[in-house]
Formats: sequence, structure tokens, C-alpha cells
Amino acid sequence: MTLRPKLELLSEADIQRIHEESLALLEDAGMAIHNEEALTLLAQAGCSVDQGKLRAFIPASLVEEQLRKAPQSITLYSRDGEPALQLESNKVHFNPGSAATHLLDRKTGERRHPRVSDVVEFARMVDALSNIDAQSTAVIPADVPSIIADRYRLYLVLQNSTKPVITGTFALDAFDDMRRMLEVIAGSSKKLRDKPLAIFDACPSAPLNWSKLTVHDLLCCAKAGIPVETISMPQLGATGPITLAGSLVLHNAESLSGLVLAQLTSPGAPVIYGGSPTAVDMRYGTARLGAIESIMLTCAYAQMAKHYGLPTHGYLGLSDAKLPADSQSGFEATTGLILGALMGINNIAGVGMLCFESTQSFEKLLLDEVICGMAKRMTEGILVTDETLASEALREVSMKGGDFLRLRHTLTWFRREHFLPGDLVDRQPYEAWKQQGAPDSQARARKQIASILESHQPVPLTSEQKQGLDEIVNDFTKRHKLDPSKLPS
Amino acid sequence: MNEDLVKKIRESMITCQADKVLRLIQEAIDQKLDAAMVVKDGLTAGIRVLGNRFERGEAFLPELAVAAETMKEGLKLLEPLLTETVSQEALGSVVIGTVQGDIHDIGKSIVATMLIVNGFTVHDLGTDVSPEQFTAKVRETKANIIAMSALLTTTMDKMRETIDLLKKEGLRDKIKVMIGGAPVSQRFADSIGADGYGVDFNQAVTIAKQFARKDESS
Repeated sequence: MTLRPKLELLSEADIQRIHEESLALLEDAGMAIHNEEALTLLAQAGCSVDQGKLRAFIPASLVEEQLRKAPQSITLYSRDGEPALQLESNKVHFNPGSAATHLLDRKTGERRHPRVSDVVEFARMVDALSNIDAQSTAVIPADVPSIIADRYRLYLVLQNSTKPVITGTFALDAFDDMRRMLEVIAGSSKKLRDKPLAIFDACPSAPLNWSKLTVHDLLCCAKAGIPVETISMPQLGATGPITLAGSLVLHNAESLSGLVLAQLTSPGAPVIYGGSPTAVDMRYGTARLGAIESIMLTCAYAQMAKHYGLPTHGYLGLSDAKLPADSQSGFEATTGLILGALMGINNIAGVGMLCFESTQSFEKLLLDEVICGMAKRMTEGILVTDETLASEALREVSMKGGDFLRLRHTLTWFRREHFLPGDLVDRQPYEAWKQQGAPDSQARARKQIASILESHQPVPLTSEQKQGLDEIVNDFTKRHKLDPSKLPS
Repeated sequence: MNEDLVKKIRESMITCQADKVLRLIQEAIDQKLDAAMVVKDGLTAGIRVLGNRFERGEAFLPELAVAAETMKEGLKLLEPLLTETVSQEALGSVVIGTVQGDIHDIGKSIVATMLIVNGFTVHDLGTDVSPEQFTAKVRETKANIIAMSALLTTTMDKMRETIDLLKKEGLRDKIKVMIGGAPVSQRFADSIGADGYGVDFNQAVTIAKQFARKDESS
């Protein structure tokens, strides 16, 4: 059995203490929940509820009880019904940072609002990259009316990739439209429940608030059997305590409240314990994702989630830098992705993202994919067996001469033991590199993006699926008194 | 039936199944298949596919190295049955080695592998090869290229000595000399009168191919 390298940030005693503090916080301070159905559920389950202040005080015993109902393993399926993500134990998967309002133009580098054509290209890129396991609705198209942009993203992504999708809504009427789209792909609501192909993010507002929209989605997901990720996002020093332990208590309390709501709605509802904590920069007031403390807190809450046996999500691989091939972009992404992988976070979202979760980049997506490959290799650890100890090979070459390169042993093992990066990673001799015009990683990435987009064709939807999606788009466009024929394609 | 066997040899080359290739070649010999066809449509065709995959970044050095070794082993079995014309079909014949006093093998071996993959016949003398050994092998094989490698600044001069010996033996005009290795440079190549210098194995192959083309045109 190979040792899986792992990371720990909390001792057993720390875990216990944070657990108890979080439960005490939910009991003493309660959660503000802007949803009548949720408050009623909690009241029926024995919470004391302040209807005027929309606040529910959740007893520890209820949390403990609901924790036992949540599933420890969640499988996401590809568009064609094959298992794709196994969110359990220490299995690691990657997907792009989602809902970027901006994009770096892949030809000019200009930071601008994304268009429908960008959503399509981005989804096709993600579809082609083997170390990125799932899609997200990564960029928000600004050339469709903003009231329908959330669901229109999903419509575009579903057409351009077979990978499962991590998504979310911006409006109360979006969830049903999006659920219906997923049902068209899966075949029926029953089939979607059996083989879910999307995850919805639901983000509480720190400290201890569930907005109308997010709790609505949380409850809807639980009813439909669609996996939901709770994304608690305390900002250390602003919407959460400045100390890591303090914000961890808050994060854990919010996450557990989401779990309780989902389980009360539908026992056994698939919930993923996630988050996106940020360290507030005390010079510029920005919420930093690349800060080491943000990464540490993400790994620490994942350790709490693992203690509960829950599937995990983390927002890692992002950078606060503005340029995709800037070294800050590389070191912040690498730190997050490698540590998240060592922590065994099941669903790591964030690749491609720059500038405080605002800006997606094709180049960074591609460069980050290499880090994902390295991280996956790292988690496989070092295999120590009779064969890998190479005792025969060592004796043969040492005593007979020659080299290891032409040994069967090398041929047998080199692909299994080594991560083989593509030409994005500069491994050329100096002269050869210079002859090619001395390209830096940005230039190499741009070249590869162009060739991937030229060559990679995603598997198309069946005509029934396409027709079904078009009908839903038609419905919601008309509902919002818009003209479907004027939407860009 | 016969075509099947040759096809199997080609496929087994591509999948680097050395033992299977050699077994199939023995079968081909037993069945009295045309040895030239076995080399051309079996071994060479297979290794060429691997070479193309290498160019595209789909195959890697260990695969080429094992295929090149298999090629050598296979040719050993087939050589007694081959006529002169077959070796002429190769791009050229190369004598390669690391110079006297130097036991660094791997760089030279990779170049040898790449030359085989690219259609050259290669006579690899190994390491610590004296000027006399180089010269004798050139005479014996009628090679048209000699490739020398050195990793140490202290052994580089053996390249010059080898070239001088080739001149003295009257072989210099019949052969192209290429050199490589970490301390070697184009300037050094010029100073000792070598015909070509390759900074890496890709350049070594390019230069060898240029030599082969010039040979054809002359």
C-alpha cells in the first residue's frame, strides 16, 4: 500500500474544540435565514426561531443528528452518463474558477467583459484538458441580458462539453430553468437524481446569514437530489474574525447550518462541504485568495469536513495577480493546488482565475492544468515494490555497463512513474529554445490555445437534447419579455 | 500470410515488444521470407512510426531506445541474408562513440538511438574509443559519417587526434565528421576541422541528414 502524502493543520484536540465552538455559536448566535420554508423546517425540528429577525437558533443535538444523515460519497456523471467525479475520501478533482465577470482576451491580452463566443471557447478548452475534470460556468457573457446570463451560461457549456458542470444562479427563477435543462440531458428528473451531472454552489453571507436566493437554491437542490456545495466565505478581518481559528469556527458553523437545512429538507441530500475564505489585505482592503492564510483556512476546514466524513470542495489555484504568466500567478496557483491536493480536497475549483475571482484567463487555465497534473502525480506518492526497487536493473547496468534508458524496466515504468507535461513546460535545451524565438510561458500557452481550439471538437448533443434545451431557453427568454432570436450564438 | 507476419513485426516494433519482434523475425527466416522486405516493411516501417510519434510528443526516449536496440538485434539475425542493396537504402552509415579517456555514455547513446530511428545504420563503439579504433571501424564498415562525443574538456582533444589519424590513413575525404558534447562548440568544431557540430540530438540528426543529402547529390 503506497503512502498517500498528506497535510494536516489541526490536531485532534483542535478539531474537537472548533467543532464544539461552532455548535455553540449556532446555538447562541443562530443563523439569519431569509426564507420562510427553511425557518419553518428548523422550528419543526426543535430550533427556537425569532420570526421577526428571521433568525434560527440551532441546538447542537440537531446538528449532530443531521450530520449522520449526510452522504459520505457523491458521484457526478458525464453528459453521457459515465461516472466522472468521485467526491469521497481523498480523491482529488479540478475545475475552473467560476462566474468571472471579466476575461483576458486570448489574443490581445485586454481585460474585457466576456462574450457568448468566449463562454463557448472556454468550455471547449476545458473539455479538451485531461487534468481538468469538470466544467464550471466559468465566465458570465455580457452580451446577453444579465437577467438570464446565469442559465444561458449553462445552456452554452452543456453544448460544448461532456464533463460535469459546477454552476450556480443569480436570480430566484433561474434554478428551475437550469434544473429542467439538466433533466433534458439526463432524460428525466429521476435519472438526474440517480446520475447527477451538475453541482450548484450556495454561498452563505458571513457572518451567519443565508440570503433568500442561496437558501432557495439549497432547498431546491435537496428536493431534486442535485448535489449542492455550501461555499462559506468569511473575509478574515472584515466579515470574519482576523484569526484563522476564529474564522474557522464561523466557516464551520455556516457550513453545518447548510448541511442541517439540506438534511431536514430531504434526508440523505447530497451536500459538499466547501468554501472560499479570503484574507483581507490591510493595505488595499482587497479580499485575497492567493494569500497563504486563505489557503491554510481552506485546508483546515477541509480537515474539519473530513473529520465529519463529508465530501469536500475548495477554492484554490486562483491568483490575485493581473497577468496569467506573471510569476505571482504561478506561485499562488501552485501553492493552492498542491496543498489542496495533499489535503485530499475532492473538488478543487479555481484554475484559470486571476484578480480576486473576477477575471478568467485562457493562458492561466492552460498553465494551471500542468500544476493539476503535478498535484495529481504528487498524491499518488512513491510506490515501493520489488519491481520499483529495480534491484535487477541496478545490477544489470552497474555490472554490465550501458544505461537505464534502453532497459525494459524503463520502458515499463516511465509513463506510470512520471507525469509527462506537454510543450507548455519549457524543457528544451537552451539553443533549441532560442531558435524558436525564446518563447515565455505566455507565448507557449497562446500557441497551444490556438491549436487546441482548432483541433478539439466536443461531442455534440443529440438533436432531441438540443431541441429540449432550446425550448427552455425560449421559455425563459419570453418570460423575461426578451426576443430569443436576438440572443447571440 | 507472409504480409501478415511482416505486419505483425511492424506492429510489435511500434508497441516496443522486443522479444516478440525477434521471435517473429526468426519465424520469417524459417519461412524464407525476403529478408529485405522484413527490414523495410517490418523493422524500418515500425520504427519510423515511432519516430513520427516522438516528433508529435506522443512517444518518448525509452520507447525509441528499446526500438533502436530491437532494430539492432533484428538486423543481426537478418544480416547474413541481406544483399548489399539493402544497406544502401539506409540514409547512411554512422560510426559513433565517446572518445578515449571519457566514459560518458548516455548523450552519445541517445544520439545513436535518434540516428537509427531516422533511418541511419549505426555502429556504436561505446565509450573510451581510441582514434585507432574509430579509424579501423570506418575502414571496416565503409561508413560515410563519424560521430564523436566528449563530456570532459580534458578529452576533447582526442577528437582532433582522430581527425588527424583519418587524414593520415587517407580516409578523411571519404567521410563527414560530426562532434557533440557539453564542452564542445561550433568554434571548437571549426578549429579542429570537423564538418558539423550538434548542440543536441535534434541538431545531430539534422546535420547527419544534410550530410546524407550532399552525399546523394555528389
